[in-house]
Amino acid sequence: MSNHNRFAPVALLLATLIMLVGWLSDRTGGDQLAAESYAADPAVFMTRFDSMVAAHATGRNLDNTPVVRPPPGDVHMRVKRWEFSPALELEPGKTYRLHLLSEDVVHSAAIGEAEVLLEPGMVKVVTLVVPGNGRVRIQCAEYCGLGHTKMIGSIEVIQ
Amino acid sequence: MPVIWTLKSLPPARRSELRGWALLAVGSLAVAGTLALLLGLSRTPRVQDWLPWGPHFFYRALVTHVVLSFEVWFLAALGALSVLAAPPGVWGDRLGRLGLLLGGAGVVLLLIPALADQGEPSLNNYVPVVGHPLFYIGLGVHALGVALASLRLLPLLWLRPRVTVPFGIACGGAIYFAALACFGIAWGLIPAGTEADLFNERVFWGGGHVLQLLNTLILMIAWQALAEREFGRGPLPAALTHAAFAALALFALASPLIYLVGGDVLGLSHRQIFTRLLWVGLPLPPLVMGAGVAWQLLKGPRDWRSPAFIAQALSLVVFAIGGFAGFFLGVADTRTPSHYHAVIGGVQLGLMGVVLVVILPLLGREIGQGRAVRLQFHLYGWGQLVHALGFFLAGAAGVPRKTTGIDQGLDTLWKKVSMGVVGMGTGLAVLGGVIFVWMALVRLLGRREAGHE
Repeated sequence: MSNHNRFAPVALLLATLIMLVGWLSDRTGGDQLAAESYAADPAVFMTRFDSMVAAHATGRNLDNTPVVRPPPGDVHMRVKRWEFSPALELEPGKTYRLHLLSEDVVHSAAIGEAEVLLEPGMVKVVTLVVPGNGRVRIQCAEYCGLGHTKMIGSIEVIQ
Repeated sequence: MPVIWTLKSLPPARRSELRGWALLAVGSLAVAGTLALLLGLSRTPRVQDWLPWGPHFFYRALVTHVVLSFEVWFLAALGALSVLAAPPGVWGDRLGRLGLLLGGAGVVLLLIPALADQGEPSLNNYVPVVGHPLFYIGLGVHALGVALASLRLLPLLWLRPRVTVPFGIACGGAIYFAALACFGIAWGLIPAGTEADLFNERVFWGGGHVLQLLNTLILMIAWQALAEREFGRGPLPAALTHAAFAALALFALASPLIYLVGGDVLGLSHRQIFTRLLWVGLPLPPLVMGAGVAWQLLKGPRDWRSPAFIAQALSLVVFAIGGFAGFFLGVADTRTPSHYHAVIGGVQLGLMGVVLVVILPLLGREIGQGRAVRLQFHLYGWGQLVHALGFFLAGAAGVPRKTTGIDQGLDTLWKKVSMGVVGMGTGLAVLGGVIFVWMALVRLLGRREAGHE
């Protein structure tokens, strides 16, 4: 085989090896949400959740989930098959800290293109800066049962 | 050095084994195709209201459809390809026969709980399951059968001189063993007591990704074999084709290392690193070979009556469009099935070409160049494209994947029309699939071998 004929296969294998090393060393990108975490007593978390809903509920429901309009700061969200609760109405440009707790099995919260895994008993805290308008898409991206693909939360931006 | 197979190149034992694998592959596709028609109808607006079955049928049928059309069809095809490539020998024949027996028995076992309404369906990625011991045993027995048949391929990885198609098939065997290693390691690493849905998702996650390298390689082998039949030579210089086959195998063989360096098997990093395998390890080899196929098809001669030519051209177009759609995936909407139905549709078209143009003639069962042969490729190919287009438009409008009936949330005209397009594409593709299965099964089940009585 001439050098000319050998160039393309060698280049292809070399490119493959470079990409392989990059992949194995986890240098090919990542889509994880930055999150703090802390262990939580579910009963204590529920008390905080109930207090937040009682204080800031709009009185409306969305798919049997209360719609809540909390002030900027800490927001507690329950996560279970197959819902994120409550539905949120947030102010544009403000910063919220979403405390997410899975109550049953492993779920995840995919917000935009990034994701955080939610294990039962461990609260993950995600900082969310609300965009100027529209809605923030939050959904489960870890297979959690037949209703998994419908597990989409509601975060509306209100003026 | 191109391989021009003739009937005489296969001894009788190999011929009967090849027929068995082909029957297993096409028979599985026949059952899967029937289920696909029912699945398509149950997602089509208005039609779904008239159907007598509920969501439980939908989910079990979906699991069975995917396993038969996405695992058994491709793995039985690997079994069939192994017959063509394996070096001659008594032990190879014995391994092949035992493999075929186990491959068939496994399919029967896994079908029992699905059809007997037993076990909870789980729509986890890649290898969805029905949660019943017989289903898992069936999967395992089938996988073992294909492994035994593939075992005889491994010497070809080192054998000189390399013959392109057999070397590609041997690389396929290596990829398959890498996938099995991933399944096994994951099974061993996942802690006992892990919740069933998470267990299923993670045990099949890594190996499921590696099997996509195998499916891609099967398409590339099909391109090579069909090009040799149609043009008398492959689409690329042999050394470059070998490198493209080897590139996929290299990524696959390195994949089990992820269980060492990729973090907790139940963690997010582990899941995401395998997702990136399909971004980093998969596209380049088919891109290089696809460019060669496109160039060869453009240069001609273009014989649109030739099944080999049509299979190559349509598989390239459908696969390329599906691959392109992969850059626009949503998180959990129907743009994901749009992508994978098109790329898998491309692989199916290539493999259909191999069955009709290579395997059946090897068995002395010619299909000729009749209208039905051409029609089935066009119906299946264009049907898959329409189907994928509908899913893509519906997904862009927010229709979630893997849902049916009211759960789809078809609350706008756009969504309804898009899902109607999906139903139309399903109908066309199923029709093409039915013609293929009918043509192949009739010839495989027939007793006479033309000119070889």
